[in-house]
Amino acid sequence: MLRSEPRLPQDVLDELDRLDAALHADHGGAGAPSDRSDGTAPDDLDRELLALVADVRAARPELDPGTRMRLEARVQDAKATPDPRTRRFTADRRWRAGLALAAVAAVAIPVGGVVLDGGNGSNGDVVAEMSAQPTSGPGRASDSAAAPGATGGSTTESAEDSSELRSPDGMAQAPSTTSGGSSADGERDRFSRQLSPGATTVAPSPPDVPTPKQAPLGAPRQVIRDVEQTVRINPGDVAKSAERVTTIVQDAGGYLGSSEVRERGSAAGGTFQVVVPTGRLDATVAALSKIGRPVRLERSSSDVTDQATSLDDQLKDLRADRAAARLALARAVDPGKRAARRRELTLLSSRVAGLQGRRDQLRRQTSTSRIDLRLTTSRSASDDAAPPVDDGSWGIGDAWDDAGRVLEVGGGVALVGGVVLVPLAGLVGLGLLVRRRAAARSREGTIDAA
Amino acid sequence: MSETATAVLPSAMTRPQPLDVEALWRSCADDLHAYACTVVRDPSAAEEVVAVTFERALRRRGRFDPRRGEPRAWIFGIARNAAVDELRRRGRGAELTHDPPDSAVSDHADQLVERDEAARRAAAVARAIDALPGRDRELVGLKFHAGLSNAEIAQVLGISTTNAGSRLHRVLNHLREAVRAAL
Repeated sequence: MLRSEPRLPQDVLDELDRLDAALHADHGGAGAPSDRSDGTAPDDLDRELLALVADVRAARPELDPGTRMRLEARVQDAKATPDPRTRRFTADRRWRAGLALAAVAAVAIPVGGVVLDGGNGSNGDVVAEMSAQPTSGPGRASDSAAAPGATGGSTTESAEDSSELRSPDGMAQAPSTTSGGSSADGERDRFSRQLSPGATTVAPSPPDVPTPKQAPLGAPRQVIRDVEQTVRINPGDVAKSAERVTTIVQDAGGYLGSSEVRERGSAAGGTFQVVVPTGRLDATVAALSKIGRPVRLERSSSDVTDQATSLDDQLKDLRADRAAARLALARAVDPGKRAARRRELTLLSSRVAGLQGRRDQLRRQTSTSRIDLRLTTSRSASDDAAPPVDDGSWGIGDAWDDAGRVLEVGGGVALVGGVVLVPLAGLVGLGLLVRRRAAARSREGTIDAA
Repeated sequence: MSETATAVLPSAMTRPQPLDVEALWRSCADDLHAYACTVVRDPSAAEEVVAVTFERALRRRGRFDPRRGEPRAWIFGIARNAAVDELRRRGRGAELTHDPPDSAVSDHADQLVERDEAARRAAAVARAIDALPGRDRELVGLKFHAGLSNAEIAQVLGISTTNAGSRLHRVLNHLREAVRAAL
């Protein structure tokens, strides 16, 4: 107890002691010790008190035999009745197990989410301007495969064109997609046109205004990715750093599109335009950031899948038109008509070439990525240190970060829980206390009224 | 035959003996009945209270904690709640009922001879007990009829020992005055 009970006055305590002694004496306890603290023998007790105790005891209701028998029957019935506690206990155990599982899930889910985010989302710390998330896997694979295919595209194209003229059934067939084609399903599109015997012209395809056609959702995405990166180096390390940039780019299978290096002066440093295969972009950015102290990193991406799909479709149509025009030229006899067919064919060929060029350019843009790298030796207020670049690997440092985040989340949950639960617990406790006192007062009131 | 050494565990490590509710109840059934009659003032209600006390004590025997008090105080606490429930169930207040006259049971008020001082005193005490408020009458039942100590009474009533002693002293003085007034 926090505070001691108030003591009764000594005379009251003595009175109560005498009462206990009188009760003992009246009870006829043989050899009952005196309860008095001063050791007074029962003979010396207050006669009046003894008489009072005897009178009160005489008014004691006694248990008659009939009542005793009925009580005995009730006792036997009660002993024979199964205890409902076991059923409730089983239900309570189920509730407790359910609550324990819910508590474990409530802790494990946010913790697991933090750990998973920490393993995948380190890039989120980098200042990024991303209009679209770059895709990986099939998109990149198609981009990488497109690179060699793009350079060899013209060769493939020529072979297909000659095969059209040799079509035995006279049907012009559109060429199949190239090996680096962007068709998501990989199927060969076959387009056939049947020319009526009297047809002399083939209506040209609509002008090649790119109208992006939506690629199927499951199609591998083609994304143009660019990076702007600034790294601070020591003034005496400009040449060495420039060499390092060249080495890194060559190791990544890329090349320097342009470079400018200033080894002396207040503006010492360098600017580079680096072109690397898209699959090596992240590793190259990470390697370049280690040249010095990274101070800025901006990423941008643009999904051009729909545009590429539209270009492919237009190319197919144009090639079909050109094949039909060739057939018509082969069949034309009249010199005037032959000249007209030739002009048409020339127009269609130039349009095909134009579209082909745009498609190849798009493929180059998605198969390679550009890094605008700036090496600076000056320290300015706007050069805030960028957080370390995530190169995709997971090591001790990442584990340390993840552990810190887990502790942060746990601490936050505990704090919020405490802020919410402690007052609630206080209120609940107060309510229980009030309820208990009210129940006690109610019981006393009921007894008083009896 | 080989002897097996038996290790004696310290008392703190041994499981406490389960409470023998039936033995406890039987040992204080008379006291319980006297207490119940004093509180509810109806023999049939008192019988119900005593029976319900056993039933509830049997169901709750697992909840008894010897560190929190004596077994007698525990069972009298159950009896108190049972008495309150019975009073609420019957919805009656201070209606005093008596069984039909029974020659085996003496009615103190009728048998007393007015000129007998002892008889007058006993009758005065009986009337004084009947006239006490319920809470004080309950104290008479616990202290005089059931023989509980002050500490046990405090545990039953949920009050401090000092408070119980103070109330008991007040009841004692009241009874004394009633006796003196009658004489």
